[in-house]
Amino acid sequence: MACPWREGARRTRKSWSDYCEGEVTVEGRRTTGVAAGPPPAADASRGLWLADPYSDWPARYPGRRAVGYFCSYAPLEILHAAGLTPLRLFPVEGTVAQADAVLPPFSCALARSTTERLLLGELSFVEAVLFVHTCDTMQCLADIWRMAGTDLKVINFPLPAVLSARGARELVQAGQRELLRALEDELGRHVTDESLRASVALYNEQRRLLSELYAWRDRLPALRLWQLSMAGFVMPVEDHISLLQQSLSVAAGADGESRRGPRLAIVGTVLHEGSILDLIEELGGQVVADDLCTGERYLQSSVELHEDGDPQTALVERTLARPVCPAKRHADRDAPERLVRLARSRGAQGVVFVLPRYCDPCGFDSVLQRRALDTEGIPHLTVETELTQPTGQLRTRLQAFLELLSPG
Amino acid sequence: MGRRHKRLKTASELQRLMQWHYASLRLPRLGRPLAWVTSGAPVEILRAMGVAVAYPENYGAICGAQHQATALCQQAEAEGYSPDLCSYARTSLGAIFQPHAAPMGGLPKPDLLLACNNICSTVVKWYEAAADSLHVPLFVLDTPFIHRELTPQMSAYVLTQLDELVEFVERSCGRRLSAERLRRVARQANETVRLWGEIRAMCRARPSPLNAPDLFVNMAPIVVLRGTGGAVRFYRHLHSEVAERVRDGVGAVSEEKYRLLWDNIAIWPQLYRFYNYFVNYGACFVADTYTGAWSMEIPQGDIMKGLAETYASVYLNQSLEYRARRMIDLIKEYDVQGFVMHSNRSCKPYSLGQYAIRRMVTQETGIPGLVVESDMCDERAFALEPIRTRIQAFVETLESMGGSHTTQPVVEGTGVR
Ligand code: SF4
Ligand code: SF4
Repeated sequence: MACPWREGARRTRKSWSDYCEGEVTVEGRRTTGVAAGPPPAADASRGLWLADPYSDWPARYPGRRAVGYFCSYAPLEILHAAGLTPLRLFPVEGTVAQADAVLPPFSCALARSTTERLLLGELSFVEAVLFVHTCDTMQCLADIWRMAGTDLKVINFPLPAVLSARGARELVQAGQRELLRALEDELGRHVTDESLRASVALYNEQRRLLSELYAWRDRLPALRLWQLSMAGFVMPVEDHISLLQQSLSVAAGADGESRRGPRLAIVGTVLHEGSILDLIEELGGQVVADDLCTGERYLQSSVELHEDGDPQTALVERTLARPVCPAKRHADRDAPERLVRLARSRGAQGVVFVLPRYCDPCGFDSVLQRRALDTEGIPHLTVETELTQPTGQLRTRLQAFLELLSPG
Repeated sequence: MGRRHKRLKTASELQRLMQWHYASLRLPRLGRPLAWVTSGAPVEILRAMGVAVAYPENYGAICGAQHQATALCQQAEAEGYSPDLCSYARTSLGAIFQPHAAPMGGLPKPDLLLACNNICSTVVKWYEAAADSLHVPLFVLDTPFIHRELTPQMSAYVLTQLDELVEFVERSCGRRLSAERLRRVARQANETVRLWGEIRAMCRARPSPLNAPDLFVNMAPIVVLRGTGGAVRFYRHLHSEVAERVRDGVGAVSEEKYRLLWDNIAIWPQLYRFYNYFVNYGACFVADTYTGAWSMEIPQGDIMKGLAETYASVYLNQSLEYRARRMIDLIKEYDVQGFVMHSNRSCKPYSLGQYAIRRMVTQETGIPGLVVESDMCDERAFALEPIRTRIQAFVETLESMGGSHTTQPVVEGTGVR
């Protein structure tokens, strides 16, 4: 079949959720594309929802209680087992005005855009927000949000900064226990072992399906793959699983397009804007790997839950074993080495860094990573992002980069 | 040095002490290893293990004050570091890349690195970069951020790592920890902290014997020479000089009219010029949140446990509410009429929450706060004219409030950003 997604995807270049518009018509029983849940009343409202997953969320998922989070280290299984629906907070394109009164201009787009949503009251349906300790920005944001005078409850999760530190395991364990207590005390939600096991199984399934889909990178437009991943962060995991199953069967039926063109790896944090992926393909490149917290860093490694094993311990183990984020340190797994290994193992010929401006962890890591790539003779390109759309200049730069990588 | 700045008699002693410190790092150390450490690292352990220490942050401040930092930052930028990153980090990395272009030829090459993230996460990345360039081992001490309280699990985690740190130093330079020496170093550190605390407390006097630049300059030994006899001696001398000023009613600012509180790191390249704008209006910074960050005593008893708790609870490792409450306390204790927050684009943990803090402080105390955007080292971020205008507007606000304590009207800052 013809590629059902390319069309709608390429025309609109507004925000990442816009790209999902094209897939609302994807055939399905319960799930109509990303817009799972009751079908929207009118096209207009659908458009609104797709342009911004937050303002229409409660109407979309009535009866669901959302808990916000930012970071791929958030123990979603625990939140889910508490009967909550984890909802990841991403930057949404648009002007930021309110947030300027509480954040200085040198804060990253993620902090500014989500704070704007908060201050505009667009997150009032969210019961609580979980801040996992990552970077200095998030550390401050957790307090800023708590002091912002909204009803939103802020829960902190003290993830160690050094995952290889002696005692890191115990701290994660203690953090999980704290979280369970907070869910109980502040939200009146009790998590049983049984419900936690069920949630672990669900998220394992989601990650397994995602990995399968990622293994078919050559059959799916990169933008489509990105949409499918992003959707999972803002919709219930159950719905996402059906969406992934459908997509897998569509992909299975599609021809394995034998792609040519330079093979690229994408590196960054949250890729909140996917048009760059589309642009890469349009210009004749292909994306074969990523190190993104909305991509492979999220889906790699599952929670190893054995028959009589303790689900909490299994969660701790995954946290320590999963790919390391730029805001974390692991003494034996440093960022440059990880990237070189990734590029080599996937046969990537070039690396594109997509880095949010004012993101310190990425800012530091990328220097050492670029140096390592230079040593290995792997070319790279760095794109700095803010809330705004990529410009025409990006096209030119990507074009030149891809030409450099194309033989002849 | 500005004319309006009253020089302390101990100034030359301070200069000699710091010069001696930097010179001593270059002397043959007879096998004593050298560590570069962050300002919030538990240096007592290193000293007790016979390791010499250097502080890249202090070095950064010196480069900043000497107008050398921006050029070094540019060196780091040429190597790929973004100009949006912390300027201490850029200055230090720039000096590693181009030691010949750096003051004192840069810091002497270390044998090991110790970063403690109780001040920020930047130091972890910065020291990783330094370790990569210098090919020396790095230990990162992780102190979980205190959003509410220091839990027993958090202190246990830090304590475990302190043991790990001792093993790391043993392994990388064959040094042993002597319990006796640790006790002595901790005692001396506490003595320095006590003296420095008393010196700062003397600024409650009217007029205040010290102004912000005095505090900034004189905090160097408590950071760099913490736990040494030299620091204790120096602070004894400073203590008596400041006490003398108080006794004689000598103020740092000739006619003290307004008493202010400073938040964030100093603007090093503008140390005298910037604060003199305030001096011109008779405004004196009688207290600040920065130089007090080193005023923590190690509790008696189990020293390692005390170190774990003390270093985990430093000012910058605690919530914005905690910091706002500390500012409110300072405002009351020092009878302050306005506060100035340096929105320091280098330092996110110190700066991102300032608007929230300002709101809380102003709500509770009724005094106005001014936010000034700049940078502690990178002179490209210092815009003279707008800053002057803001200061003027701020002083006018103070003036309109009667110059002394008023609980109303509540002025939410001055609308200046
Ligand atoms: S890791 Fe970077 S992008 Fe993410 S919140 Fe921190 S500063 Fe922002
Ligand atoms: S980010 Fe702030 S606390 Fe950290 S090293 Fe830079 S100036 Fe110091």
